Amino acid sequence: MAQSASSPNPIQPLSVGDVVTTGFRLYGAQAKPFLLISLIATLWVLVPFVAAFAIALFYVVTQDYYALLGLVIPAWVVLLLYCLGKYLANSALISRLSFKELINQPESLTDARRYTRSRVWSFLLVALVVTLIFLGITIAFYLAIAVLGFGAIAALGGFPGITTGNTNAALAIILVLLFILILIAAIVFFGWLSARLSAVELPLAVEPETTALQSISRFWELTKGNAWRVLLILFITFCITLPIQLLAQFLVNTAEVIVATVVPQESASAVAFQVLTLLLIYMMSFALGIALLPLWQTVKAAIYFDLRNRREGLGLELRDRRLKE
Amino acid sequence: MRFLNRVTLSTPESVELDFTLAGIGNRTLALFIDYQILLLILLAFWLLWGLFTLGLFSVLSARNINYSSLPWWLLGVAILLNFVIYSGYFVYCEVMYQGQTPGKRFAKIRVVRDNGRPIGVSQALLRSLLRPVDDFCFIGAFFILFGKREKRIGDWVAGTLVIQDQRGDRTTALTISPAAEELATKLPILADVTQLIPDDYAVLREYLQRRAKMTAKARAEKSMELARQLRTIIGLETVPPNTTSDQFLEALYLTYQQMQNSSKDATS
Repeated sequence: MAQSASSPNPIQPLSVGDVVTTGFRLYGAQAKPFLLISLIATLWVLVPFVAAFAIALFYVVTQDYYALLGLVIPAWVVLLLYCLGKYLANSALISRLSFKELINQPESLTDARRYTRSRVWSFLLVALVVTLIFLGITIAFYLAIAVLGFGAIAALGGFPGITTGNTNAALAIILVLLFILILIAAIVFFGWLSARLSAVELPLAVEPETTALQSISRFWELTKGNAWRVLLILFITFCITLPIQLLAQFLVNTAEVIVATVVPQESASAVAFQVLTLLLIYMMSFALGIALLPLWQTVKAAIYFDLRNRREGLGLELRDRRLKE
Repeated sequence: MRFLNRVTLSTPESVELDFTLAGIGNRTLALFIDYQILLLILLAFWLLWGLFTLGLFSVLSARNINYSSLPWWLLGVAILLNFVIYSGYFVYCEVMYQGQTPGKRFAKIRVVRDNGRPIGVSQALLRSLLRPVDDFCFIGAFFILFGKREKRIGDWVAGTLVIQDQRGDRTTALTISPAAEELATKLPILADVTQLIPDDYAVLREYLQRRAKMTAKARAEKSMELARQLRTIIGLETVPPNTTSDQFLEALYLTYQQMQNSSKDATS
């Protein structure tokens, strides 16, 4: 009994800062495998671009076989979708491993990979549905803004009224304030929505027999009443990645300076210089993406774990002392 | 939480104290809040300084005094004061409020010396003077992330640690139904409540405190599960009819509390 009193209480939910720290610690504990998974995920995204480049090169060289395009393009789209699915499944793999670690039931990489690999298309579906939701809302928002904008112009006496300055000043000020208010409301709304859809793939990655659509609605249910916490967690995580991003930016700038001094600035090598810097920037952004992907996935796992604890009492278990005795 | 760094400090009285370190998340959160507050304070300062300067100039020109070198002096003083406010904010708060700035209070963390004692002016000053290096050159974040004791440069120099505020027992009042209160009077006779250990009680209280924020389905399941297990533990054979699992748990909570109170009375 004495020992249980001094041990930290694991059943309480985590604070905002603790969720972020937990994400970082999960990453730190398995940095090597996670970075490798992240590298594989990123390479999958590159495949469709390499394929597109190869296809373009083929047509440039042969100047023929245009009839095949009707077949090549759909094939390429399928390839693109599959590769995206692979990227998402590999990302989810990091989250799954992290979550299993959090609930103290670590899983082997092979087992976890087998699980996420079999759900590639489901992960893709989740991502597509979320994209459609955001797209739909964004379009609706812009339409509403356009309608309101025209309404405002009409209220101010139409374009002639505005151009001649022959308008009601008080009304104009009210409309401008209204516009600012709508803008703030929109930012708040999108923040809230992003938080509630931030880790929609987690239920799919963790809970067996969950379909893509169920995964989305389950995460939606879990985040109910917790949207602002989740948003704050994501924001704080973003703040901590800033130094890393700045460091990357600094490295790119230094490298550019070095390239500029090494490569002579003549007309012939100007192209080489451009290509080199561009290559540098691309490589750096890929490296940054590979380094940061596991962090977001571990933080998402910590968010999901904490939400399960808060909303479903995960971890609220009686200690099974009778079995031990 | 086993994923947070912990540290054991031995005080000069050779007492071992166990602390959870603040962690990068809480520290960033605290810093973010503190900088928002500081920004507002500094904004107000520059506004007032600007008004003061304009007033001074108009007075001087009214009296035909040549003040061509004055603006530079005023700017210099303003920058100096700006720095004093920036550093002073952290020094004042950390010394006056036991190592807690408003941001740290929100994030529930505090600064202590390496031996666990509250920090003094000299430590707070050193931390604050090195803050620009840690915060604006972003070196501190790397030190906190990769150091075992999560110390930024200012912490190393000042000999301080940032730890989590020990959470005391939250004494939020639980809503207990009348039916449960009635059942609580009978439970000690019907079952052996002494079988309950503090860990069981902690889980029970945690559930009762958090159930309102749980999803309906999970809450119903968790309630049934806990009630079934606890019933076995205390050896209650028949639950009085028309008792919901939540009511049973509330009653058990009350009974345990009363039992603890009476045993405390007996020992004192």
